[in-house]
Amino acid sequence: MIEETKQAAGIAGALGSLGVDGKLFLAQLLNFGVVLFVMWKWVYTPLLKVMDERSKKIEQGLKDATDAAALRRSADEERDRIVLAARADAKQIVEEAAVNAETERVAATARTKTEVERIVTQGKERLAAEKQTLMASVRAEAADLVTAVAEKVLREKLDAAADKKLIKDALKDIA
Amino acid sequence: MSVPVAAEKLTTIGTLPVTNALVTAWIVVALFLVFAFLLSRNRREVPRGIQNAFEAFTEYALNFMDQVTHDRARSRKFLPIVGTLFPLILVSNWMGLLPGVSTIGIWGLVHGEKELIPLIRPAMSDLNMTLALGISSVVISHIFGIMTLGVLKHWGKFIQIEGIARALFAIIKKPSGAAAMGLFTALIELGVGFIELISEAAKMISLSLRLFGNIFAGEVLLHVLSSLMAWLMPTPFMFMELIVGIVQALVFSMLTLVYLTLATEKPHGSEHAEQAIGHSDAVHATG
Repeated sequence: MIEETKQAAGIAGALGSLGVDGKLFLAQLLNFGVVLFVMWKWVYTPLLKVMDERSKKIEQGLKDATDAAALRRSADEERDRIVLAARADAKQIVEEAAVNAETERVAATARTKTEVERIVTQGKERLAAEKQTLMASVRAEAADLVTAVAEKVLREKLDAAADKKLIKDALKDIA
Repeated sequence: MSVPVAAEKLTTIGTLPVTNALVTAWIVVALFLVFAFLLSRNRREVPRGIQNAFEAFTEYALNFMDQVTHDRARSRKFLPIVGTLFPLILVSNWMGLLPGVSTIGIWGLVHGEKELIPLIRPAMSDLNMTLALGISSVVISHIFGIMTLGVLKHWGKFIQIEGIARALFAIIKKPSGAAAMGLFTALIELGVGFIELISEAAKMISLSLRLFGNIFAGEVLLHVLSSLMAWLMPTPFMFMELIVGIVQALVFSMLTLVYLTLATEKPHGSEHAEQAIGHSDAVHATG
């Protein structure tokens, strides 16, 4: 082993004894260079790009989600507000309708009452008028009847004028 | 029967000696190519399968790197380098534990003795590979430094002539004790700059030797234990090698990340990067 080392040292110095060889060194340098180039060019550069794009996209997605949630919340609030307003409107309309209906009913009742009263009064008046007419015609009829009866009974004794006077007096008494 | 420090030569293609470690490295490279192909073929917006798993890894790696860089933009910039080194070293290390690695081979003559030459040897137990990685990572950190700070500012960290010029200018303008002190400080900083320059070279050596040493030692350990008693004896040590494999991958990639962070840091403001370096050394010490 010592012999070997001495021999090697004699040929290529200390480095040579450790196996260092210019050509081999260059070959290994090339190996490393190839791996470095491949990793840099086709692995890390595109990979970092993809990763950056993805994190940008995820960030955008999260932002969009937040925006959408805020939008939905405001839409919900808007809807609630509209529903509440509509409910209040409906309540008011129902109340107004109830008031109107009551007023209408009262007015109708009053109108009907007046009408009925008017009809009753009219009936009464007409009845009274009828009665008078009837009485007048009865009176005339009775006068004629009495005249006829008296004429038949007293034909000869009285003239027409005295007769008429007599009857009138008699009717006056009757009335 | 022993494991030689240098990877054994199997054959020669042209003038390139093909060693068993180089074969393993090629297998690992092929695995990564297949992985990259599968990943790029099935890239989906909604990830699943390997894409999902790898995205999880990437995300985790970025978060982990943020602890050193304190800056997501820089973590993303360094991700391809650190994110290649870590899995590359990890896969290579763990591949060395598969049955057949270092045990299936051809009989050949080594220094006049008939020995079994394994067809596959852990890629990181070859100093050529770890040197390639170590030098690459330091060189890349300097490239990043130059790209971020500019050539002058980056090298100004190491050759601090600017400070000397400023101090000399101050002395000429108004000679005083404070100005002399300033020149003294600038001279010290110049010296520190040179030490830094040497430490840059040391970084390359320490990165590569640490990784090589750990994996090679593990390989030797398993080899020796297996030749002592092949049944069950090496099993606990294989578990240990699993941990060593991931720790070394982590140490190498984290140190590279620290070098990258330091290199892209502005001069005079590197306190917390140095803290980060201390942290990584602690990690290494435990490994």
